[in-house]
Amino acid sequence: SKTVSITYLEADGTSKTVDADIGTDLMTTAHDNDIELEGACGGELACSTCHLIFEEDIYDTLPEKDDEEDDMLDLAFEVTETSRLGCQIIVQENFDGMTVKIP
Amino acid sequence: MLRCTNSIVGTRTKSLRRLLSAAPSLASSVEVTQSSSSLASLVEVTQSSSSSPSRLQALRQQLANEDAGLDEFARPKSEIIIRKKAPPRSSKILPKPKWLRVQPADSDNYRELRKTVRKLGLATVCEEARCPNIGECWGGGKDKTATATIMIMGDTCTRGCRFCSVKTSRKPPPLDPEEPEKVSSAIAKWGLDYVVLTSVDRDDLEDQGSNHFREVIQKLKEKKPDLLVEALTPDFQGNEELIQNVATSGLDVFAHNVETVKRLTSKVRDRRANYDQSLAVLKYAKNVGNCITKTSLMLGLGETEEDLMETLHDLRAIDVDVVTFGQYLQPTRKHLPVKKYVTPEEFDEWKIKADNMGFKYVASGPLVRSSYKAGEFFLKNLLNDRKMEEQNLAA
Repeated sequence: SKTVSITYLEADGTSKTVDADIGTDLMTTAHDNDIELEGACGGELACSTCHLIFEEDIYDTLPEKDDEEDDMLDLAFEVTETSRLGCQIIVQENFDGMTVKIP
Repeated sequence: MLRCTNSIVGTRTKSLRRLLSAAPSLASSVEVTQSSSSLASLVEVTQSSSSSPSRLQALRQQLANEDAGLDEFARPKSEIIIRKKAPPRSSKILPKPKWLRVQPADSDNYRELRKTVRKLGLATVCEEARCPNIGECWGGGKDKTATATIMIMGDTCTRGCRFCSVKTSRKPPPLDPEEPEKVSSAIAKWGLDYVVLTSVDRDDLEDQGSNHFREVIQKLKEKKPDLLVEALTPDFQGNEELIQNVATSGLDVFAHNVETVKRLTSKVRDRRANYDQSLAVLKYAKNVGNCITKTSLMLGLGETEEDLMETLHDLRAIDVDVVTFGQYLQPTRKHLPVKKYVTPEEFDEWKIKADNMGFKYVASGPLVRSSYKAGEFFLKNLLNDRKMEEQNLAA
């Protein structure tokens, strides 16, 4: 399947660039590439440990979050205006070259 | 493609020497040089006898071919073993200290118990939460008393705490109405003296499963009145009626885990859980059920000495009888990393501190868990003492 290049900026400043499959969510992509991102509830919208911060121009292209994601995101640490839960964001073509930050 | 490191080269050259010495029609002297590039450059075969030169040429040809592995000479293709290089361990994961060695789960008792558990269709938190003590508890330990902590209300929780590997779902499968009967019959058949029942959180149900929990305990007591029952319960979101259902069911020990100190609770537990709420649960359960109350804490999450002392004071203030301390272990990569591996000596110090504060029983050690066997033996004695007291008073 087609891949795009995504960079994860880990909490301690380490940068890791991976080939992400289009159609896979960002949490699974991180886990598949040994990125330090939690996912305590396994993508069930029952926690906020896969919280990622996006670049503004990418954030604007993401599908709207539903109430359940919003509820969980509200409780995430250091949540920002461009934060989303990684398990809910599916890799898109325009992600190529983007960086996501793990708070 | 074969990857050669020095150690692999060492092995391969040894095997090649062995192989060639077993095939005298080939070369009678072999020069083996170490190299980290292709296998072909590892071996220089010299011929001192002139027997079967074409076979030797064929061999040279095959060696020169980059794709030929040593295994092609040694084993048929179908048996070639492919060694996968392990993914590099993250440098951010703390290495496990020596004192955290566990008995591998491999005794006859363990296998027997696992068979029984499967046959009876029981779910155990031992397996679901990947407890490191499973080999020891299921194996029976020194006195061959197998212990298991039975999980009721399914294996899927509505919450996602960062330390727990139990499955999570917003809408787990509905409760099995036959479960109280099934579980109580199974446990009664088992011949246990002390059983711990625990459950997942069921925020999706109207009564959060409290009536179901109560039924399991009641049926158990009906079937085996002498069986000591400890219930390790959810917080029922602090709802007193629901707590009462379980606390007054006839159980012997009411357990509910605070899990960590106040300061870290919001970081460690699911957002629906909270420290004060958990204390309220323990306080209320004792008031309404007149039972022994118990709680557990995981250490190694970043708590300070002050944090922990504050928690112990809070627990004594609501007359919690039993506290256990264990080392937090990260169950999978998707969970909270360990902040610190607390030493056995520190665990011992906490036991002394807690004992001095008036807890009736304290279990403290890296591998101690809420329902670890050690507590049960004491509690068994404590409860029997209590019973005798009551009988004496009645007489």
